[in-house]
Amino acid sequence: MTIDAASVATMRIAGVTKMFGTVRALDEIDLELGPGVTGLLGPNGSGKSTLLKLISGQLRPDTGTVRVEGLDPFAQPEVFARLGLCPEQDKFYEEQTGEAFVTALTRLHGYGAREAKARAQAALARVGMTEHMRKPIRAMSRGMRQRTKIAQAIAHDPPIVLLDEPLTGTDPLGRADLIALVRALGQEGRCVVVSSHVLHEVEAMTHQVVLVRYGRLRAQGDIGRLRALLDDRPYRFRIEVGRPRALAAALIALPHVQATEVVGESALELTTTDLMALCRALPGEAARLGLVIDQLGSPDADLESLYRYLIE
Amino acid sequence: MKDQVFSVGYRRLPGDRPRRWAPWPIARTALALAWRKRSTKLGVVLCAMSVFGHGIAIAAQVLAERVMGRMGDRDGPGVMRDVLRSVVGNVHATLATFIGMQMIACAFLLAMVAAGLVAEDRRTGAMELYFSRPLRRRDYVVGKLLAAGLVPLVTLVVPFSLLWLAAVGMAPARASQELMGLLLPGLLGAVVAAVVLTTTILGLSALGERGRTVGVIYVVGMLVLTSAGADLPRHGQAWAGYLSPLRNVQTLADAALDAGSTGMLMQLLISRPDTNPSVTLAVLCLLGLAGLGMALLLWRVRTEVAG
Repeated sequence: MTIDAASVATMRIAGVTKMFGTVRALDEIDLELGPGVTGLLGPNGSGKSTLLKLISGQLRPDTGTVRVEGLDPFAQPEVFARLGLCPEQDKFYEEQTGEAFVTALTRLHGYGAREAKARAQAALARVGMTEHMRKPIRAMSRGMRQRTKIAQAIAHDPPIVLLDEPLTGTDPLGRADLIALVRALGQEGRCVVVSSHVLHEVEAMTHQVVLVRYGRLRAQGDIGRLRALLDDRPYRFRIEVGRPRALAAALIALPHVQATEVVGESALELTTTDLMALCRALPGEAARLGLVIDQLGSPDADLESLYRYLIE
Repeated sequence: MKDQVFSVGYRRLPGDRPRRWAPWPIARTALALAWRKRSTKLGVVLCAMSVFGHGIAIAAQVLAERVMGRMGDRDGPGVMRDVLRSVVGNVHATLATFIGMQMIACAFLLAMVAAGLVAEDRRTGAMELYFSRPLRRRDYVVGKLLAAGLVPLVTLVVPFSLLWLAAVGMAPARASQELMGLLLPGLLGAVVAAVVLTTTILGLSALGERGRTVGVIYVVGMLVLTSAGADLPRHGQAWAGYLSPLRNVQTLADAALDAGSTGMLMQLLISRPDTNPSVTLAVLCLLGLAGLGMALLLWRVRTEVAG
């Protein structure tokens, strides 16, 4: 059996608009997502959850098309055999144990009772719930509930996993485990979409992001490359060095350096329109002046600054 | 040559995993959750006691008459007719009472088991999880119908058949032949009652958001309709009889008894339940109630899933 080359992009969203009454929740969204982890970012009410609901077939777009592995998730529920959804809100039968809950949902994928139970146990073990899986859900902490929700999304081994705010309520250690789990799911070649507005958590999972605001797509791609595309926004760069004034005088002469500022006795901050050119020139200038650079970095080449520029 | 990709990362090619019938896991989950409630267990015990009590009554009636029959064989056909009348008539009365009582008991049990089937799914948002599986709307509807329908099946239809079987098995030869005629009308009544009870509770559940509230409304509604349907016709309000699902079921079962019986069976019956004047209208009322329940269920699932 073979897969047609045209179906490699796991999800295709073309010209999708979704209205709720007079509110335009999504406006002409075009998006293609493939294997790996993608962070879906945006402030509250930006349309992230609506987008996930369209992908998971819970909503029908007013215009445009959504295709998941070539199928329309709204009209062709077969696609859900290959999709796992972890919703933001808790949607449990509180009296059930975690194991019974995940087993029951896994059975809906066509597995027999025994296989569904084995898969549920494996998924719960993968999210670190082996010890607590026989607890009633009502007695579980927020973090345990979150893990149980993720387990039901991955128990049937789906190639597509949609996670809506998966780290809500988890403790720092649990968060680190779940971040590692999401990364591992992506490395296995699954298409994982993580919706969140906790930027550093998304950054720890992936460098591929989709930014939405007011229902419109603001940016899509690698964080570093997206930042580089914002050439009208100069980079801030911080260098910790012994004689910052001397280095500042040398660097301000470079054509792409717009401004320099000495911070205290041992640090220099500058703005440049070309980060790569600065990185190439800096070692030569430091060597010429006989300076040793203790530390350097760009405080606004990360996801947070990208988000600030594009969203706020 | 056509471009082809043979494997992409993790992507697993569609396997030959057999599709299992999706409604059963839905029904099983619902029943397992209901069984965790103490009130459900209590309801089941009460239903079982009712079945047991009626079983004892039928056995006692049949065995007593059997003994009397042996004693009276010497006295000729007149006595035999009386014996037959008391066996068949008493069993008929007991089975008719059984269906009536079980229908009320079943309504209580359904309120505990099935009132939250759709309402709680809506309240907790579990529907979203159900429909993120390869599940069609009809699978969900059939699953819920199956869960609710098993209650009257186990507490009404199956026990009725068992009681009838016991009566036929224990009765004297001639009486058991006459008792055969009670099966079809009784079974028809039990099945129709099961369908009406199942669809109405699910229809109400589709309207509400809290299982407990739905359950209380259902039980109170059934009791009010049943008592109104029993009392008002005695005071000249014949139309009110059609309000009672129980009375409509009895009307239908009684009509089936008339249609399928020999003249002999009808002569043997000691008592017959109060019924409505028009069988057609009774059937239409039952169909209307069941149809309304189904329509509400389908409408709710459609609106919830269509987003």
